[in-house]
Amino acid sequence: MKRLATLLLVVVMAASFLFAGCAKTPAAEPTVAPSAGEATEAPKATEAPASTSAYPGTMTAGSVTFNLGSEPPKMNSLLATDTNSFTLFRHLLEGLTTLDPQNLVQPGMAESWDVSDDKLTYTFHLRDAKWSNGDAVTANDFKFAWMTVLNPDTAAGYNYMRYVIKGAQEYNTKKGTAEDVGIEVVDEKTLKVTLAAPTPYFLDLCAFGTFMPLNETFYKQYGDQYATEASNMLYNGPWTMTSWEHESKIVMTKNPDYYNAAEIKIDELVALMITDSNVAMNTFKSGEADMIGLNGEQSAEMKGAGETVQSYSDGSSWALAFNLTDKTMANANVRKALTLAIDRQSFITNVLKNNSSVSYSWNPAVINNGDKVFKDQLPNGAKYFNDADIEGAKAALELAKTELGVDTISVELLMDEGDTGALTAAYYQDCWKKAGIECTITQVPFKDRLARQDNKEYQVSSYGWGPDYNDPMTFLDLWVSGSGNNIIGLNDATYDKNIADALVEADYDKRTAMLVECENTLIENFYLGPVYFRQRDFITSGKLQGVVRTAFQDVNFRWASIVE
Amino acid sequence: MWKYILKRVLYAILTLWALATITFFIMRLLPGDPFIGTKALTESAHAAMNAKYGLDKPVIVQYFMFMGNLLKGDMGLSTHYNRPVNTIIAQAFPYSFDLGIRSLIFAVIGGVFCGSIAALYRGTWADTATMIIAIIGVSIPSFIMGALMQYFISLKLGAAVAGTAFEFLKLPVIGYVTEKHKILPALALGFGSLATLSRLTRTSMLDVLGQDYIKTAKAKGLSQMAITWKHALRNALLPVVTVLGPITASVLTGAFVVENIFNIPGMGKFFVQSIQVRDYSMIAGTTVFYGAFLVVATLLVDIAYGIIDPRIRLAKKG
Repeated sequence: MKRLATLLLVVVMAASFLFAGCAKTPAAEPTVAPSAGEATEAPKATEAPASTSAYPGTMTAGSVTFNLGSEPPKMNSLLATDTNSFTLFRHLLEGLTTLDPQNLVQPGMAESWDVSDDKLTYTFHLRDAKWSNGDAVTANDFKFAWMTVLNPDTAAGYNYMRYVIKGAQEYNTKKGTAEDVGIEVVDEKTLKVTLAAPTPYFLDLCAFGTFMPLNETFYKQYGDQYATEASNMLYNGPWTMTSWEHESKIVMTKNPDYYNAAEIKIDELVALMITDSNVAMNTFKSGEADMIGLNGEQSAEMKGAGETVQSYSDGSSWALAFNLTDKTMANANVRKALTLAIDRQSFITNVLKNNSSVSYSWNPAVINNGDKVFKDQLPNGAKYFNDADIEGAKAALELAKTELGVDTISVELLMDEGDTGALTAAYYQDCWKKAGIECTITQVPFKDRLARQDNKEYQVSSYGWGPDYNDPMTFLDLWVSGSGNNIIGLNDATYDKNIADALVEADYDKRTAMLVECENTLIENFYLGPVYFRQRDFITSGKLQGVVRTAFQDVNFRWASIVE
Repeated sequence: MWKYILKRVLYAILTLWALATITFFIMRLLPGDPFIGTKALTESAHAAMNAKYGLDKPVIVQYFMFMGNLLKGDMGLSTHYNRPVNTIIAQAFPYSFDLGIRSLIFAVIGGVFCGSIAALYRGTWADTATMIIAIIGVSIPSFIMGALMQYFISLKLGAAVAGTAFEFLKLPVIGYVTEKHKILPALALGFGSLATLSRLTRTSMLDVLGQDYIKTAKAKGLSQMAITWKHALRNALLPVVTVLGPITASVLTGAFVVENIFNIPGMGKFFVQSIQVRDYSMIAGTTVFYGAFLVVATLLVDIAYGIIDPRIRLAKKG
């Protein structure tokens, strides 16, 4: 008994050492169940079937929780360049146009618009809509936002997307003036935009995050700190942000003043920022999330348990990028051998373990050219070569050896660090070994890989690109000589001319022919070695239905509802 | 005593200056820059960004600006979040601090309790059991512990008690809002330190209980209570106080992973991510802040040590 008393005393005393100087805990806020859902944009809309899920989802009525995956670094629509910010804009803001579940352009803040015969002038007629502080959304809100992005002093990463507007590039590069930019406020509800060249995807751009309006008075009040907290930002979309706990979660509440509020069925959206996929899975299983993204292993586990796993294309195309300024990689047969030797189907089945599809072209099937799928317009059904063609690879390799006058060919593969990178690199290495090509692997951190690519300090890199807008140009104009994105160092005068011509060509057929020729040039010469078009898997709880996920709308809850 | 404290404080300031300087120059050696991304920037955008964050000036000029601002307590603007680093730390640190304090309390109470049981019941099953727990705690890193707890306590136990009278036992997987949210993260983070402390307490208690002055005290006829209070405890806890500095450090750094697992909006994510995204002001800001925190913690332990055991102070003088 005495001993026990002593023991207790010891404990109490030890505790007292600590309590001295113990701070108050931060005030707790009421919480809502979290949810998950990462992934990017994809083509065809996937609608969740009303499922018989073993996971009923979150408990709060009228609320849906999804995993956004990470903190949106910049919620200022002028500065944002990342998928997560754009996903939030889709729910909080609205541009002149919006996209429907099939990614087709629909009226947004603009009720209607007129296009001139030369396709250069767009006149938008705005509807009566309000900001979340009660101000009316006016034509000047668009002009102000668009001009601020183009201001050379604004550090806006996506400023070039507005170069389609007349005088925009000149102003942004200090070769022209603000007055010469083709954005004109006709009256409070009418905006006239003049383009530099006919741009078939201009209305798509108007739905894109960078083209959102800004309330000038409000914006100037906060200046550089606009949109850094939930209260520092104005909203004109279906939801408003009511709480932003940095690096933890964002709560969005239905906006009663939204013109189409009657169509919005979810009262509250909670976006979680869970980076670890296992944690996301635990969160989903415990009923704290209604939608999460799944990796290959998790997808298999859920399917094995009889759950419905959904999948969508995020629109990204993944390929081997060859540094054409490198002596070995400048040889077309080396590039051909490396491309043919990859067993894509087996790679997808065994390494990625998802629904990604084998690719033989650079432009994925999600990209439209007008109302047609661009990939379908490519020759031979867009199949420029065969998958896992070891014999073809060996033959090309022999030619390459003769041409280069060497006995063996060995290449260095540049890859992101991490498990997926390691598995991918090992897989490619194995494929190439079968064809007789030696390969060393260099795994580096993400930013390091980007820097090496930019400086052309590599031979082969595993490279992916996601579309900015729905037109083949978003995949093709990267490779113009002098482009900051041209990491392969392509310098092809014909290619440059085709792109330059296509940018100003108003005739659909002529423009199509130019774009097709560019794609042919890329793949027939193996400037790029296509590997796969990415698909992402996700799962929803029994509570949620009708969420739309496509290449151009990573997540969209506008048409989603809660199963009663 | 004052001379001793003054000397310690001077060392602390010197340490912080060295830390800030080394961090500043080393982070500039990382390949890539804060604005590089998968999509290339136009030259105008890149120039505007460099100008906005002061990265267009020579590195040495940036260094003096950085040190100057640091002296004023301004850690600059995060290039990744475009928010002041001071604001970010002010929002995030209370979470980390709260979690750290909770796990420290758990570790110290649990550690001293287990260690004392082991010492008082030496050689029995209780001793063995406690030491097995200690070995497990030292061997399993906190993030594994956190994941295991999520799986077994939140998911498995949660599913088992669902719909029963024991439903209150179900703990949430993520978040840091209610007291229930805070249990698992604090346990996961504190377990390793608990193990260290219980082993230490056991050894220390055994040592003290075998000392002659304890026997003398008993011979004088003092009660068990008085012996423990006046003679055993103060001496037995001395080593525990000594390791509080390093343990605070390990709890704070361990918190990075634990915060990530439980989705707690603390400093961890900012600290780790700032390096990946080359957010210079954030890397320097969080490093200097944590550095200062740890230096101060160590300083306090040094001073406390001097108070508890005068021999230390005297030895240092000589």
